[in-house]
Amino acid sequence: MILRIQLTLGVIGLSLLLLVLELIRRGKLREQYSLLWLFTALVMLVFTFWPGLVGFIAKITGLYYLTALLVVSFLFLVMILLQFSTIISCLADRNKELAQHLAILKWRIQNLEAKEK
Amino acid sequence: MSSKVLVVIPAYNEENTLGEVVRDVKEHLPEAHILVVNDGSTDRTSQKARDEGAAVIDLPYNLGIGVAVQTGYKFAREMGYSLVVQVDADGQHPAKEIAKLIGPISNQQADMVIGSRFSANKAPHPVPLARRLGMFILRTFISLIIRQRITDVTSGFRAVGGKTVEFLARIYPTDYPEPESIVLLHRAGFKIREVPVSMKPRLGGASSITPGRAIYYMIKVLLALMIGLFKKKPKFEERSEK
Repeated sequence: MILRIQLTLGVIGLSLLLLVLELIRRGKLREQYSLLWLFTALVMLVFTFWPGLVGFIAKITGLYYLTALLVVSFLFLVMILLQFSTIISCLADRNKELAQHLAILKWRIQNLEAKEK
Repeated sequence: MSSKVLVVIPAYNEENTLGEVVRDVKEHLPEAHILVVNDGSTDRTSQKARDEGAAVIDLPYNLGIGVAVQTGYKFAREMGYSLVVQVDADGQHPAKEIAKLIGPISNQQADMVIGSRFSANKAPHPVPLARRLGMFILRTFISLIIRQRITDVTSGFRAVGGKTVEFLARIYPTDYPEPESIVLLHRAGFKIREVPVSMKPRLGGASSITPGRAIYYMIKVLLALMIGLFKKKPKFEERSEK
């Protein structure tokens, strides 16, 4: 039983890690947002290779019955959050480009107006 | 070879030192055009720069030094400058040293020249121990990656040539621009050169790296560099602007 959980968690953790790495490689995820995601994936992998840790946490928190439903909804939340991170990365880049263009254009307009006078 | 030179000075709340920096550059490089990129300052930085006769670009809000410097590169690309020199607004970089940075670029020996305060044998002005250790690890790491000795990886005193300006106008790191851009340019196949320069203690303002944060800074930069290495190799193709 514990082996199957380990396998599932391992696959999820590894997929998340690869997905995040690929997003970084393609430049879709800013470094700012990527660190937390890499960390999350690594923690999942730590749990895979060190299942005793789960028991320890269950012991100190008293949370034994983590249902499948919770796990599944958690996974969806993770995916949604990752998508948000990539969207924010994209928006931040566009915002930066806009601000730079705006500032340069403003200078050029002022320059033109000064020449016309 | 005479080329249009643009001196870019990124400035964030530097009203006390900026005037003197602009005057210094004017005195030593009367031919060059000076562009101050005001990174959303809340003081009179922008007005001070205008009073000294520099061209001023005002970013609408504070976006960080990387974005401010890149704005300078974008401006240079639009207005056709073939050589860009970056100088800090806090007065650390003496304008009389700019000629040393420009030299290797005008005779095509390098695409980017970094002014280093360490590669000279003169004793540099005192730097706190924690910061020195952080700098040592960073420069060892970067020198290993690019297989070339760079001593002052965080120096913002640099000159960049024509096609490198084009490249940086499109891609420029925003988090830790000085060390990251070295690795970025190396990976894109540009030639980097370091020359010894003398630097002055800053005229005013505080360093963005306080001694206590030096090690934390180093770890963050190392992580950012490693993530940067993982990215697809930046390719420089001559592309017309959309």
